[in-house]
Amino acid sequence: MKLISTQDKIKLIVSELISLSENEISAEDKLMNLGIDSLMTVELIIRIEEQFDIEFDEAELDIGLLTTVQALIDLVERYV
Amino acid sequence: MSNTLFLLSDVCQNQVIRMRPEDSEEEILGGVILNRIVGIAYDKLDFCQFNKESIRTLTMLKQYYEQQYDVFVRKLSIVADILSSLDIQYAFLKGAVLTPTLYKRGQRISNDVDILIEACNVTKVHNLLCENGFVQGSCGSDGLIRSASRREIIHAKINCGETVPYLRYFNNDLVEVDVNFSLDSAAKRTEQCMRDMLERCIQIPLNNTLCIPTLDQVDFFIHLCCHLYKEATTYEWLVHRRDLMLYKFADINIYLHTYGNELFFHCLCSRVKSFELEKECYYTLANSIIIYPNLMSIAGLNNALNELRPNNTDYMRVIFSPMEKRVYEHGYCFKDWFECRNRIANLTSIVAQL
Repeated sequence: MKLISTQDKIKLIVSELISLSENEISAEDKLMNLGIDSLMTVELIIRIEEQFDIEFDEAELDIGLLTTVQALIDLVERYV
Repeated sequence: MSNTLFLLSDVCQNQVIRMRPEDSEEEILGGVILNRIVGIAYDKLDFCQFNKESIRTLTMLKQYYEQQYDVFVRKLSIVADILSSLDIQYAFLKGAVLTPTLYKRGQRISNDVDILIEACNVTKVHNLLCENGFVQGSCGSDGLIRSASRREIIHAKINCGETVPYLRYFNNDLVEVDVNFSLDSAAKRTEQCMRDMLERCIQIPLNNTLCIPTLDQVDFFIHLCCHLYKEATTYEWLVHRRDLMLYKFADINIYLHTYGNELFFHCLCSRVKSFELEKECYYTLANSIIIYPNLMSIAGLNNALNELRPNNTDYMRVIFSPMEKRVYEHGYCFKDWFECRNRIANLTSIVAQL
């Protein structure tokens, strides 16, 4: 069975949110450039928390830091 | 109507204020209640001009303000005691400091206890409050605490730069703690500013046995100005008509009459410029003077206004909606804007997206 990496899982969640193919999303992409504004970021964080069964500390939920797909991957990897 | 309300909210002037022929009793009564200035206005109203029902209502409210003062000091002691175990810098803000130190019993009412911390310490404070039985949420009209959903907590943090309030009953007193970590909704911009302010915290005596940490005199005032500006220019506050409540301006008035002098304003200008908060502070000072012209007699204020005045003051008529990501403007002078009955309907959208 193939294990899905955190990166792939996050890309999948992002792709589902914005109805884009996973292949069209790279870790370096800025959320803003993918059309993800701060309201959609809330939805994105909720989906990530549910998928990984984690709950981020409020101190980590800083819109100024969560600007790229890679930032989300880094954040999740601190919890899993 | 606004002129009379302005006079009624001036805690620093003692004269009795008579309603003018163009004022209506209903509007003055409603204005006093909705602007949370019953405690100040009660001692200034000419009761000969009011009917018995109005007087009875105002008297009950004044008594409620006095009772709530005692309750609030009790709540403050509880929160101060809990937070004293924190190993981080924090400061009590706004009503938590002003109500027991500058106002007389019953003049100002405070519903919640505001504290300021650095954004990086939100989790520490969250954990401490939760360990002490607080939950994040809101209290309904039935008095029951409703826990906030995860979505509400994340939304408040990401989109509003706020934490959902922490609530807990102690006996029958509902204690609400508001955790602030920024001067505006863009937390990043003021991160260094927060750190700098918290490093200069001072201790003030609350009563004979308790001292609480707060910002130093000038920083406290800067925070008040920024907070007033933020709420006065945020769309969501206009919707609920909480944007220009007079008690906030009354705070500015009493603070400047207590601490304002040449040295205070000299330090204020220097700090405000170093933090690049001229717009926020000028907005608050300039509009406070419209409400309380007597402020101009305080030495140093006029110079401070000139020094802080931005080249372009069009921003004073701009309203932001962080939720909708839109920017609006209105064409009113401050006094007309204050009197405007439907501010939302008088806004024009000037930018589609923030």
